[in-house]
Amino acid sequence: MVLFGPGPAPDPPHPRQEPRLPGPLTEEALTGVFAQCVDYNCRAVAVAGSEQTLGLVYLAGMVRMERVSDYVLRPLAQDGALAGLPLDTLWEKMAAGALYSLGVEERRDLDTAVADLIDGNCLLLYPGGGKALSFNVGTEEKRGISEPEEEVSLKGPKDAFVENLRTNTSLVRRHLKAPELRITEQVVGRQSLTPVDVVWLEGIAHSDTVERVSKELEAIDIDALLSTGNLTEYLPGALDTPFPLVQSTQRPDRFCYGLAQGRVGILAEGLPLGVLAPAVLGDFLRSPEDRAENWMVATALSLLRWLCLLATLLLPGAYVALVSFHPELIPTRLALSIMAARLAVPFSALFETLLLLVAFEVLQEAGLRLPSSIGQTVSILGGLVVGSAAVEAKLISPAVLVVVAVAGVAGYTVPDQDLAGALRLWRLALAVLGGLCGLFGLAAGAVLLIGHLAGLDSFGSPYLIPFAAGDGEQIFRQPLPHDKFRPVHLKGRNRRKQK
Amino acid sequence: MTRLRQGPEERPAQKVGVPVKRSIAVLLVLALLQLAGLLPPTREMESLQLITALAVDGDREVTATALTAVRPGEGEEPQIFTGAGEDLAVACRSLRESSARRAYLGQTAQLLVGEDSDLWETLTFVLDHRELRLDTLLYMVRGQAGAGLMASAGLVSAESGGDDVRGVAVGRALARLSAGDYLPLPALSLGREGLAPDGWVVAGPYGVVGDLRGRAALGCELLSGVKAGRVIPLPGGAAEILDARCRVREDTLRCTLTARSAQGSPRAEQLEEWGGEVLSAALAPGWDCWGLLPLDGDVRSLAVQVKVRWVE
Repeated sequence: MVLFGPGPAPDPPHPRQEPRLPGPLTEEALTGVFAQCVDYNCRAVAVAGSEQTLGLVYLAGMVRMERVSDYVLRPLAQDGALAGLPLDTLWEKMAAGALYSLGVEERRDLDTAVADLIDGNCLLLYPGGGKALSFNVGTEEKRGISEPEEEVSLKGPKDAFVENLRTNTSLVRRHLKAPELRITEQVVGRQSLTPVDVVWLEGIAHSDTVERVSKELEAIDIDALLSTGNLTEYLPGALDTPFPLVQSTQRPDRFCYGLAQGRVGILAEGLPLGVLAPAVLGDFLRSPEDRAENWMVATALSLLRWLCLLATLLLPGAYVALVSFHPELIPTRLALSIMAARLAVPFSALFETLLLLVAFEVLQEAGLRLPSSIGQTVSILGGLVVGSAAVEAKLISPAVLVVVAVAGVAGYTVPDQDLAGALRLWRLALAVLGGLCGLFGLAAGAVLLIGHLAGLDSFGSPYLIPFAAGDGEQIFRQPLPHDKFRPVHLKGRNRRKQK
Repeated sequence: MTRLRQGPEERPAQKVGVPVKRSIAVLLVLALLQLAGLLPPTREMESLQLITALAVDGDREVTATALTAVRPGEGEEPQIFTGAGEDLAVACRSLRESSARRAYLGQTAQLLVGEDSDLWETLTFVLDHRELRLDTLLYMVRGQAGAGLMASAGLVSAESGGDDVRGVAVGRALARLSAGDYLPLPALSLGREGLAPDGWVVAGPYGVVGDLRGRAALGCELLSGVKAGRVIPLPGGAAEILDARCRVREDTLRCTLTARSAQGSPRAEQLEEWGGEVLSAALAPGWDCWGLLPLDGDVRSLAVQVKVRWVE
């Protein structure tokens, strides 16, 4: 039985070939690799003042034509110093800088030459094959740096990560000018071959964490790394929990603060996000605004968010449990009001609550996926019009509408959408438990949840660290002059942040 | 520079979906248990009739009278259900059968015990009952509690009962009586407009032992700390007592009254004299309902000293 049994045996790993494209580097081989590719271009280029021709290969759209013309073709055609040279001397001069390109590499195997072409380089092929010069003439088409849309800050910086990896690393360098900033790169994805960078501050981040992150990235075997989920789902333990074990952020300042704390960052080509590890529960409840606000205000808001977390998680379950099992715990007048409202409702409290929770999710999903103008209309139509009509038609009671709406709105105070998603899932489960076994079920569910969270571990940091190690900063924001040490759980060698 | 490396050849198979399966399994088991009736049954509120007050009469043939709660200002009429039986448990079962919806005792805020009822049995019934609560306020009714409840239905049904300063919670009464103490319980009697306060009944470890009425009841109020707006007519006018604090020191009961003039110009000495009289009257029967002395002490031997503090 699939539900209780071990499930079907996993497919054996596919045999893979390293290098991917064996064989000699020749024009024919390249043409074979890029067969049926209209963007593949190969032409012969004459060297100035001689009969000698070289093959120029590039992928249209990946290279910037002006650069090819100005920095490769023009010197070849016009530089008198190259005229009449023997082929090998000519080759050495071109590799040494006779052609005006910052990045020139000699390639001797087909595999790396193909990778260079895909990266936006052009190749000058040695006549007869066997080697090629690779010039960095790629396009730099990218979106401009804009404001973060999901992590809005009133007082903080307004820049956000973009899809271009080098732009993102430059943003990090601009925020953290420390020469100890380290950036290493790996390639992830069988087909996407996405460069993924691991970023950390040497001497501050724990070397074990850096090593673990690098190993985990190396172990990722995926066809195409096209979204953050592709990355995070391959990290250890991520499949066993809906709770996020790494933190993603659009904001370079937040990313850099994480690095300065001793965390390790991951940036990937094509993803306008930075990922920080390790991440514990308290990290997801911190707003980017927290360190820009007065510490007392920030602490009060942080406490409010923790309370809202409990409200969004427990409120529907508690309502169902109280109404279905423990009416004696409801004050008499409130109980009478709830009773009067529920008299004409045909559904049980549990079904009614689940119905509304699901409807709430549907509305939210519809609002997110549609264009913003239509999304707002759907929200208003669904939330206000359909909601009030359902109450008037006695399909649902006003009390449950209020409870679900309050729980939903409380959920929006959670700054991290990944955590909010996990809470929504558990909220549904706790409502079912409350409806099946009352407060006993709700308490049992809460114990299960706490047990689950206590068992989670993000790159060596216990998930419930604010409660496990008394790290008050996870809940209370200290005044910045008193905030002298980096978190203990990050195990960095250099814990002191300031005098 | 992009490399064409694609990660290691072998990767251990991950345990996909185990927690999801477990969670679904737990929910399925719970749903099956609920369907099989092995879990506590739901008590959907719309199927309940909330009872706000319960009156108990009789000793050998017990009668239970229940009054439903109504929302104030909604013009609803409270309903009354009655049940009788050889004991209170049977009477309550019978009461439930007379209601179309299930009479639910979990919201009972007031418990009215008739003078012919067994107080201790009633209290232990509340203690054992899975719905009745220990914070229910206990009242002793002079005469038939059920009749009094029916006559006061309109008043009682809209009350929550929890804000009555005279009220004594069932749990507190049980604790005090179990410890062998005396306890003053607020008494009600049926007047023209329904049930009205009528002094105090003194309960002891073996049941009701006597009454405190008239001046003794006023003294009991002061000793119990109940003072809410009590206006005392005095020869020079009237005084409103705002606070009363009593304590025993060296065989003397010292009571400090905080009062203000409600009418005319009453003098402090007059109020002190009144205080001394009512306190002496409360102590006269000899029941130490207020825990003034150790168990073997005699409250009748206490001298009474009253001081008045006037406020504007």
